This record gives sequence, structure tokens and C-alpha cells, in this order.
Amino acid sequence: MSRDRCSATRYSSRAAVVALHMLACAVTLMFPAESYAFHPEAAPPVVGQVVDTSGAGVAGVAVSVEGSKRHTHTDSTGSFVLTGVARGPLTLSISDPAFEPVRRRVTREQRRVPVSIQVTRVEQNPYSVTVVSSRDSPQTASSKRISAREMTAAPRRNAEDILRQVPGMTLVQHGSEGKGHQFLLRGFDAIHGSDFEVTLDGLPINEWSNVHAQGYLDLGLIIPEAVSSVEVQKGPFTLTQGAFAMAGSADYRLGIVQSERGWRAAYTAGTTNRHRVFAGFSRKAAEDRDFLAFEATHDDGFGQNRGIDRMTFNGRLTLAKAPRFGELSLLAAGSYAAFELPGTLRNDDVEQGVVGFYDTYDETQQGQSGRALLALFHRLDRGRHNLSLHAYASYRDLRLRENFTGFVIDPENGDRRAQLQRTWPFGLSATYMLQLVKTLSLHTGLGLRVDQFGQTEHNVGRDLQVTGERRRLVGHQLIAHTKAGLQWQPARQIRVDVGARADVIHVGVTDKLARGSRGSGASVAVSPRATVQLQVVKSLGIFAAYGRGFRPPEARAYSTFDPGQAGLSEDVYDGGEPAVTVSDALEVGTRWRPVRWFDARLASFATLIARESVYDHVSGVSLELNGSRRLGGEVIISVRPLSWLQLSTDFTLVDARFTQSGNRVPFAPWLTGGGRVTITHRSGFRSGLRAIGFAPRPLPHGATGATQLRVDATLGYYYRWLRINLEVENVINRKLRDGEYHYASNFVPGQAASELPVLHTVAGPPVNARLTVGVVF
Amino acid sequence: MMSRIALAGASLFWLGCGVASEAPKVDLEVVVDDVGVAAFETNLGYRVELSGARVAVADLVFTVAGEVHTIALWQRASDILVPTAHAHPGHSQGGEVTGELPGGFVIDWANEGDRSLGTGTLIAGSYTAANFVLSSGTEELGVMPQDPLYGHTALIEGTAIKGQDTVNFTVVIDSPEGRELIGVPFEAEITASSTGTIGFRLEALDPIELDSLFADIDFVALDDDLDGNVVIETDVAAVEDAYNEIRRKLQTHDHFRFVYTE
Repeated sequence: MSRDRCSATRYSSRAAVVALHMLACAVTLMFPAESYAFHPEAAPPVVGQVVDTSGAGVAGVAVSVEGSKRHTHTDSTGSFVLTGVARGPLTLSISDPAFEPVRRRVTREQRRVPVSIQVTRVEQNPYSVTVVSSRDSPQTASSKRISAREMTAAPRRNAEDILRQVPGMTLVQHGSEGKGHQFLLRGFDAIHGSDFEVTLDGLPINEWSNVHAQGYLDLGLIIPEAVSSVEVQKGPFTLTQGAFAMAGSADYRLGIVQSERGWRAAYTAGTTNRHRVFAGFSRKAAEDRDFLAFEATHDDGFGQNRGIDRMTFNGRLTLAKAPRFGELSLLAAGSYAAFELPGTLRNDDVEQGVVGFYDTYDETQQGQSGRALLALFHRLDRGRHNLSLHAYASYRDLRLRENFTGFVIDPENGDRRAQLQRTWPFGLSATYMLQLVKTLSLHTGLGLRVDQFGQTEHNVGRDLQVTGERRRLVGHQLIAHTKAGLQWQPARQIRVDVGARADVIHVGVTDKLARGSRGSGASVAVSPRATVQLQVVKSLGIFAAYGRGFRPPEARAYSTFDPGQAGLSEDVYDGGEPAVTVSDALEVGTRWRPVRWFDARLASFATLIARESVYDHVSGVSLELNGSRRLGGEVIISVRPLSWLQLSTDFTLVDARFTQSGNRVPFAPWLTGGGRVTITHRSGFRSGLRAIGFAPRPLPHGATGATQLRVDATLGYYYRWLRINLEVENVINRKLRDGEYHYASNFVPGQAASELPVLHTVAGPPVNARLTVGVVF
Repeated sequence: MMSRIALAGASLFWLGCGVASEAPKVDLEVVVDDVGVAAFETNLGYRVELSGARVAVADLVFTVAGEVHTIALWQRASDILVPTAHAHPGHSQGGEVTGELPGGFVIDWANEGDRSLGTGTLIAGSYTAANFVLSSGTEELGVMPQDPLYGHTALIEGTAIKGQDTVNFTVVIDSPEGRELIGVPFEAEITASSTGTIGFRLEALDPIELDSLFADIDFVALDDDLDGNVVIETDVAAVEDAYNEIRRKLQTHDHFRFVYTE
């Protein structure tokens, strides 16, 4: 048996070698021959990884050999390969303006294994930005990396909660923990993700044509403890940002921070009868990025009908790693959740005591969410050349049964509906960077994403019987992109990134409800992007960025479905070919850091959308609206008076309006603010306090929401292998109106109802606490 | 603006969670507007005078276009998508109902000018259209069984004169149960301080296209017995075409209008 296993292992290794060899051949064909000429007499390359104090790989850092002209830059994972280096001991020099310089002596013996080099940021500011040159991705005034340290300083039920650390971003949970959030950023109501792109190690997560909402984001696939950092980019300014990044994007990067590596287990108990177990393993070697993580959660949730049961697995395994062929790794993730959904409540019913603030009208509302993902990553760094490839395949299953309007549409059976989405996405991508000359590099890329999907929607009666079929659609959607850009860095003080990407979109659908009628179409989006970073003086940096974001049409737009026209005046266009929605965004900002412990950032931004479109939950298509524009600014101030204490505050003001009517874009807050305190003392004591809020949201028809203030806190103690952490949400126990909406509803069956819109609320959590006890060995 | 920011900031950090506010609403009287039933001439040269124009309607609702793309003609050829929807929970699609006067009514436009139908409730906004249901005469609406409108949607009576010929006509229209008539013109800027009235008008002659309810109806030709009286109703072969023509027109929004008068 063991021999068989060994054989299998050998076979796998051989297969990996063969695969790598094929890759190498492909690379040899793609790259200039002289760059990859094999020199038998050459010494083995020096391989390693540059990591920060949290253990996360640091991209774009210059690595050079002292006394030699050999140099390279770390790739997106912080890894590097130095070829053509003479045999024997050497000294590596690490230089980057954002980090303290490091010199590292490497002996002949140490060269035989990957070298791990840790760097320390010049200052540990959570809003710190690499002012000059990050080879991986350009920076703008509002770029933000959420570090592992920041993540643990605030309560997090799930991966979405990490984004609450982003200044100016508002998250709304109008279901329960298992359903996707609503994202609000810079005057955008991105609904479930239609204007906000999320990627996982570069893999697209937005569900293009989900039956519930376009661009639907459900990050239940991601275990928060397995996230090493989140790179957030407001606005569509970098070439890596793809579909849906109209308001911005976030790239979740998986990995285990250095301090948490090893065998790891944790148990969480919460006041909402929450029980959660987490287990993980990762090798302690800094250069090793492999890990396994598993979590299982049960939570009754607060109020009524917010329970959830969930299991999630994340893991990464390096399949092969060799200097000549680079690194090949496998990422696997899977999750399944069954959850209840509370729906919305009419404000007048709550005020009159018909329902409680945390209650539900319909206890049969529920959902199930499943997702599986397998991805292969390959990267190769050869001197002036850097090649990254990834390929992935996934499966998605989402079922929702909800009722937001009660008995308005069908006074007898009710408006309850059941939705089912099944998607088989797969895709691949390649990026290639060539250092043309010392000051100029070329960045190119190709990619393909294909989704095969089926979706249904049924009316469900009071006894859960199916009373009607609203949708039965199958089809495929494809988006292929190519991108090219130049990065010019004539001096340390200036960096310019200019480029463009072109996305070709094709959708084909079959409407089973319309006797199998077929529809298809294609469109193209060309998105120029440009950023400029200028370090005027040592303490002052200036940033400027322009970019075009886009959102492809949803699949149903290509079907023969016609939701009918009700009450529209005749000057409204009532049909046409589906088209891409595009936004043009501009940002200008500055960062001022007169002393090491003080950092202030100011950014102003503008976004213009000539033809706005909003995804309509009812008809399942995008509604073409008049143009809109968003003008705003944000200020972020951070101070670090003591090495273990960090304070920050931020405000974002945005004026988002439809250009023709002058009306405010509904739902998106016009003023958001936050304050954060993070304590990380060397004694092991740590704590975080976060206050985030926003001014009354503009709602449709002239209604306005309520002012919100939410205060969360954490208190923890880390001692060698012991981890104790207390998380408290809504410390001041305000009645949080997480989601606010304005539409007609009637929750009394059989009764004639007013068609006038009224206020509805989805409650945020009342004060609740979770205690986690964990160990790391 | 600054004071608003300061106020919001103060409430944000000191008051915690404030109170949401409903959209500003206003109650406006809806009255019968008889301007549209004055004597008119048809395309066949008949001068028509209406002595009765009774229609059973129900559930008046007023809609705003929201931010739905209102594009120019030259843009109509372009490839944009404007699907539409109703009863959507909260986004800015057009056709959203933001005003209403529920209930059923039998309105005689020829004899009930300025009659009050009740008080409608409207959210302040830019109105573009209205919808209502074509119902039928019932006892609940005060239509007794002996009433010729009983069980029918509309009863229109009048005189058509052409040269020396005079024809007294009666038109009885039946609409499908619950037939909703959508997109009736209603151009009005309603604010929370509006105090005017909304006139509900039957326009026997479409003032824009000059197309009348009785276009192409040759009353004399329909008067087979030459007694000067014509009854146009369903299931009568001799007047079937005329009936269908009038019924079709009555069921379009071209011959109704809501007018706001301050």
C-alpha cells in the first residue's frame, strides 16, 4: 500500500515535472531566446521571498546582489529569483522607500534553499502607501491595503466585514450572515456587487448574471483567518481591475501571517448562540505559502430568522517550485451555508408595534449557498521578465426564498419568490512584465472567463406551493480581455503608469419560458487607465489618476423577456440592444507626512456616467437611467503617538446626482465618517475600537434615511501559543438601521393595499459579543 | 452646505442613530374635468355633441418617470437597453407609483364637471403619467340593475349631425375585468406645498393628434332603419366594427388626461 502511495507520489511528481517542462517550452517560445539561454556552467539561482512583519509577501521590492549588477523585483507574492549570480556566498540588498533597507548575508549553504527576508515598514501606518514604485500595481491617493493587524482590530463575522475598515465604504446586510452584502462606496449603490469588483488572489468572484443581482458577491468562500491582506482600490484606475470595478475593487490575498503559522485551532462562543470552530495548519517557514484552513459555524443570529450554519475550507499547496520553471501552486476553496433571511420591515409597522425591530414578517425566508473553487497558479521570474499564469474552475449554487413586498403583487398568494442559480465558471489569465530599460517596463496580459449557467425563479404561495414560474434561463457568458501598459519611473520621485485594457463580451441565452427562444450578443469595452505619483518633497506626495470602469450587460438582457411597461411616459425609450455601462473616473490627491508619527491624506474624486444603469431585482435586468455624476473628497488622518498605539479618523463627502434631474443618487450616503483606535502592545495585550457612521441616506422619492453610528470593539491577549479575543458589536447598542429602502408593500394578505412607497428597514445587530479562545503551535 | 455638514456631523457622533423621514406627501383634490367633452367634429364631418359620457373607473394612481432614460429621438437608434418594471422595491426606475386615489367611481364627464372624486395622496415629485382601471357599473358604485350602465364599462350618449342628417347614438362599452389603462398623460410638478386640484379629463377629441373617439364612424350608415337612433354595443353584427373601433380607442391612454391646476 505504501509502495503504491510512493508510486503515486512519484507519478504526481513526474507529472508535475512534465507539466512544468511544457510550461517552460511555452515560455521559451514566448520570451526572447537570449533571455532564457541555458548555461550549464551557471550557478544555481538565488530564490527567496520578501515578507513584511505580518508574514505577507511584499510585491515590487528591489532585490540586488551587492558588488554585482544582478537585480530583480519581487512578484505579487513577494517572491524573487536571481539568476546568473556567481557561486559562493553573497549579500542581498533589499531597497524600497516604504521599508527600512535590509542587507542580508547568504552563505553557500543557505543558497540551496529559498531565502526568507523580512522587511519593516518605515512606519506602521494602516493607511500607509508606497509613495514610490510598487512594481506590482500603481498607487493612487486612495489605495489601501488592509493588513492582518487591522483585520484583527475589529470584529469580523465573515470576509465581508473586513471591508468595513475601508474609509468611506458602507456595507449593508439586508439578509442574514449567509447572504451577500450591499456595497456603498463613493456615491455608488453597488447593490450586491454590480459596481464593486472583488477578486481572490486575482480570481474573479463577482457573479456576472446571478438571478438575484448582477455582480452578486458572496464571500462566504473566504475564511477571514486565511486572509493575509486585502488590497482596496477606489475607482477604476489600474489595469488589473476588470468588470464591475466602477466604484472600486478589492483583492483578497490568502495566506497565513507569520505570527499565526503552525498548527492552529480556535473556538468561538457568542451571545447569539454562536459556536464556531476554526482549525488550520501552515508551515512556519516564512517562504512557505502553503496552508490549510477550515471553519464551521452555527449561529442563531440576533432577532428572528437570522440563523446560519456554514462550513468553509481554504487551502493552498505548492505543487512544484524550481528556479528554472518557477512556482506552481494549487488553491482550493469550498463552502456551504444554509441560512435564514429576515427580509425588511415597514417602519410604520415597527412604530405601531405590529412587529419588533429585529423581527420578520415571514419565517419561511431562507437561503442556501454553495461554492467550490480550484485554481492553479504559476509564476516565473527571470531577470527582466516576469510571467504569471492562473487557471481556475468553479461551481456555484445559490438558492433564495424571500418576500420583500408581502402581498402587493399577489394579494392572495403573496409575493414570495424562490430563486435558483447554478453556475460553472472557469477561466485563465496570463500577465507578463518586461523591464525594457531601467526606467521603463511593459506590462501586458490576456485573460478569458467563461460562465455556463442556469437560473430559475418561481412564485411561491403561502403554503410554499409553486404558483407561477417567472424565469427559466440557461446560457453562457464570456469575457476575454487583453491589456497593455507602460510604467515609467525616471526617478525615485516620479512614477507614471499608462495603459488600456480591452474586454470583449459575448452572451448567449436560451429562454425556456419562451419556448426555448435564443438570444445572443457581443460588445466591447475599451478602458484606458493612467496614474501619476510624484514625491514633491520628502514629506509630500501627489497622486493623480484617471480610469474608465465598466459593467457588462446581464444575461437576461439578451433574452426575449419583456417585463412590460407600466406608467411610463412616451418619451421613455422602451427597448434596444444591451450595452456596456461605463464610468469615467478622476482622482487627485496628496499625502502629507511631516513627521514619522503623523500621516494625512486628502483625495478629491469625480465620476461621470453618461448612461447610468441600475440592476432591477424584480425584472432581473438593468434599467437604463439618465446620466449621473459623483463629486467628492475624502480626508484620512492617522497618528501613531506611541509604538503600540494608533489613532485614525476619516471623512468622505460625496455629492452624487443624476445630471438631468439634479436628484441625488439614492441609497449612497453623502457623508461617511469613521474613527479607529488600535492597540497592539508587546505584552500581548491588544484592543481595537471602531466608530463608523454616516449622515442620512437619500432614498427614492425624496425620503431620507436615519443617521447611523456604529461602535465596535475588540479586546484580546496573545501569549505565546494562546490567543484570547473578545469582539463586541454595536457597543452602544443603538438600533442600527443597516438597510433602508422606500417602496410599496403590504404584509396583510387579502387586503387592498396602498401602492405608495413607504420606509422599510433591515435591522443591524444589537449589542452582542463573541469570545474566541485559540491556540497556535 | 457647511452648516448641513456640521449638523450631520454633530448628529452622527452625538446623537447616534437618528430618525428616517418619509417622502414629503400632499393631499390634493381630484375633480372631474369636462373640458374634453365639448362638441367636436369627426374626420367624417359629423359634429358630435355628447349628452352623457359615463365611464366606470377605479384605483387612480399617479406615476413618476424617476430617472429612467428619457432620450432624444436621435438616440433611439442607439443600442441602449431600457427594460422597464413595476412594483420594484426602491430603485429609480420609471413608472413608479407615488400618488394614488383608491376606490371605484362612475364618472359622467358630460354632466358632472367639477365633481369631486376625493382626495388623492401624492408624494412630491415630477409626475409624468397616471394609470387607472376600467371597471364596470355595479351597485357598490351606485349603478342599479335597471341602469343601462349596469354591468358595463362605459355608456356614451349624444347626437351626431352631418348636413341635414341627425343621428342620436348610444354606445355601450364592455372592457375585460380589471383592464388597466396605463400611461395616461399627467405632467405636473407636485410639491409638499401644492394646494391645487387634479382634473380628470375624458378627451373625446385627442387635442394632439385630433383623433376623436368616433373617428371613421359613419353614424348615418349605421342607422339601418333610418329612425335617427343608433345603438352601438357588443354582439350586434351590424355595428360590430364601429363597436370595436370605439372600444379600442377608449382603452388607450390617448383619450384621457390628468391636469393639475394650482
